[in-house]
Amino acid sequence: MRAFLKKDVLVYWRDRKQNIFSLVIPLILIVVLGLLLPNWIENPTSTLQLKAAMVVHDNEAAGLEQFQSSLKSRGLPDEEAAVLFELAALSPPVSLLNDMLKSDQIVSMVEWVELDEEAALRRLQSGEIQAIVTLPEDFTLHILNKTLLDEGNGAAISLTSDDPSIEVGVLQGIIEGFTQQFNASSAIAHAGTHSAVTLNQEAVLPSIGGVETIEGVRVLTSFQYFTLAVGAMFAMYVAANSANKAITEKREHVFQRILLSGSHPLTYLAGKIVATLMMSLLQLTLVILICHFVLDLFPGYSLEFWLGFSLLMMMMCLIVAALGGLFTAAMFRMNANTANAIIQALLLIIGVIGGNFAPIYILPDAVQQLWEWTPNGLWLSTMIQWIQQESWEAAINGMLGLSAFIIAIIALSVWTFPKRGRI
Amino acid sequence: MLETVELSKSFKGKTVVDGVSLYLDQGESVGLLGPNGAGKSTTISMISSLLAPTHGDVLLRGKSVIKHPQDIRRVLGVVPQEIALYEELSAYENLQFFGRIYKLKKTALESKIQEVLEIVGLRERQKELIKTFSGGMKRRINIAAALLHNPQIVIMDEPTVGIDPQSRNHILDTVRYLNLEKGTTVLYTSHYMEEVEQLCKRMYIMDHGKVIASGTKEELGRILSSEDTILLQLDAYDDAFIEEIRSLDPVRQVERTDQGLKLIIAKQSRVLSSIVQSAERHSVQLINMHVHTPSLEDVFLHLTGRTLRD
Ligand SMILES: Nc1ncnc2c1ncn2[C@@H]1O[C@H](COP(=O)(O)OP(=O)(O)O)[C@@H](O)[C@H]1O
Ligand SMILES: [Mg+2]
Repeated sequence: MRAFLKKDVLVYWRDRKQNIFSLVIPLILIVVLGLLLPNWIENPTSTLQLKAAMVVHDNEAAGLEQFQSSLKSRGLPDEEAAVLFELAALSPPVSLLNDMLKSDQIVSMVEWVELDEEAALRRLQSGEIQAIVTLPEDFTLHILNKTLLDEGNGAAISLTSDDPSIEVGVLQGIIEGFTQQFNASSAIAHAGTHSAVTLNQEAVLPSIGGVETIEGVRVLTSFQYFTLAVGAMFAMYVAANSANKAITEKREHVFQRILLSGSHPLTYLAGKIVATLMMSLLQLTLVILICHFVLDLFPGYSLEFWLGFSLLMMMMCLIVAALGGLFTAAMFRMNANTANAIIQALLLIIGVIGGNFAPIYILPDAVQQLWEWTPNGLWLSTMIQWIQQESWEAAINGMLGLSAFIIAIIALSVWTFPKRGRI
Repeated sequence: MLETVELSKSFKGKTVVDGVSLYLDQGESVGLLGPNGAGKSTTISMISSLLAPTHGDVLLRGKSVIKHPQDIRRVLGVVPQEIALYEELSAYENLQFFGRIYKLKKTALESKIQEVLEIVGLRERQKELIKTFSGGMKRRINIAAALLHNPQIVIMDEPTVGIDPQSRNHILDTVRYLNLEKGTTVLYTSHYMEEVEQLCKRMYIMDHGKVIASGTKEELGRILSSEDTILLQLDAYDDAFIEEIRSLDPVRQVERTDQGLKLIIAKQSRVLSSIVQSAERHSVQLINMHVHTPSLEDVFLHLTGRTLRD
């Protein structure tokens, strides 16, 4: 085995053109795609389904009335007070939030249930719903005071959840986006009469007692996404490259010479798989490290994060190694050109379905259903979850699925590879 | 030591090797001669247990190789027709790899690598990559790789195709060295008649998948022993002269050539004086006369109607 491994690694190593290609091209692609499609994927919504409750302690009509009377008591000129009230009545914050959260786009992802607070908490604990959005008492009044008059501390929309899932993270993103948008549009509308107001983001999402409130699911940047997606894609091309080296061995009858030595053919295959593993580890690690340092991909992430990240990298390279074995076996089983065409097509298909070429969210639903049924897609999805949540549970689940893929692919390649020592 | 019994191979119904029986005695050097496509390489693949025969068997000391491929693989060194080497590795690294898969121990392998490099005369260039080598040098390393495990039998499949004369001589010397000095049994495949004539005591001639003749060079020559060829270089001859020559009893065939006539005559016939007399009678000037005894090339031509390099 070691002899096979050494020669494969040497042969790879000497292939300068290929090595430069599989290092430089992904780096260029990552930068170009990352810049072209900034933050496309920060709100990956359409595959997700979430049940959430909206608990409203606020009374909008009362809030507006109070706002109106507070304007009077403030002694503002009538004209200005009228303009401000009109503005408030035109876009009362709760209605806007409701319109937003119940819009078609959001409803396709979140199923809303109307509950009082107690019932909502019960269901949250029993797992029937995954999140509660709470609007506190006097929400309307406080928001209007803050945004139109720059008085008080505003009000917080609480997001309560004991489920640190990607979906809840998305919901949080939506609410954050909303408050920013709401604030911005109010500020613009208001610009003529009053100084611009910014809503303090931290004030919007404080934690409340009782059920754990998630601190914040990290947002995935497009550079992170493309580094992983493109890096993994090119790692898979290492597998194709392995198989291509095997064509040479078949065509130039080196393989026959190996058989003549009495070596078991599977030793040869094992050498290929391990060499592919090493080359893909090297390639993927380099791509990701270079991106990390150049683009500052994961600033200040914990040691624990990097541990899980490294384990997942290893899993991807094991997938590549297994694929390398399978492709090599295919080369020996059929005409090299046919095998090559099949390999290229397969990589293209799983690359597209797995989200390696374009973010999975922009692909049709039918394709998205298949996402995690490709090894690379499952890996990408597990990796994204890890980056967002660092949840070992999710990571281990993903790794189990990936292991199943690895075992199945290796079994298939052993089964396909000519074992009788005759070809 | 090694023999094939009625060895046959068909690919998709097309018979490529057809009932080939041959044998190699210990220490012998045997040639396998035939034009391209004759089935030589296919035969070798079957002997070396890389290809399963459609019919027949290969026996190593009486034991079937088909059933026990490991036995022959241990004692056999095969120099394939193609350069079976890693272009991106150096000569040394190639030999190291092939030696290690034969499970040679580190120190034994090291001295063996130097020994075979010495045999093929490329010791000084062992650190260079194969892809920088000339065709002839590649062929020499190709041979060296087959010698690492001290094989008792070496089969070489056209080891001198398309190379420079220096490398070619080196290879021929290597074969002689292996056979004469080291007592290795050699099966040497080629479509160059003169190489086989030089190197091998005995030979098989293959064409269209069949062995069409076999024996020592002399035995094969005797196939043509009933006839000689006479080449006449003539000046100004006419049809009447040709007719008279044709009417001579021992003359079997007359052909015109660029410079005169080619006659096929019965062996040892005393026809030369009659030819000279006829020439005088017809005032034909006889410039030169050459009696040609048959070469293996002629044997092949005789047997197949084609030359080896067709
Ligand atoms: N795997 C194969 N499939 C089909 N035909 C083959 C195969 N291998 C060899 N042949 C055919 O068998 C014939 C003999 O080939 P080969 O043994 O290589 O001849 P030689 O070595 O004498 O030149 C050729 O016509 C070749 O095309
Ligand atoms: Mg051949």
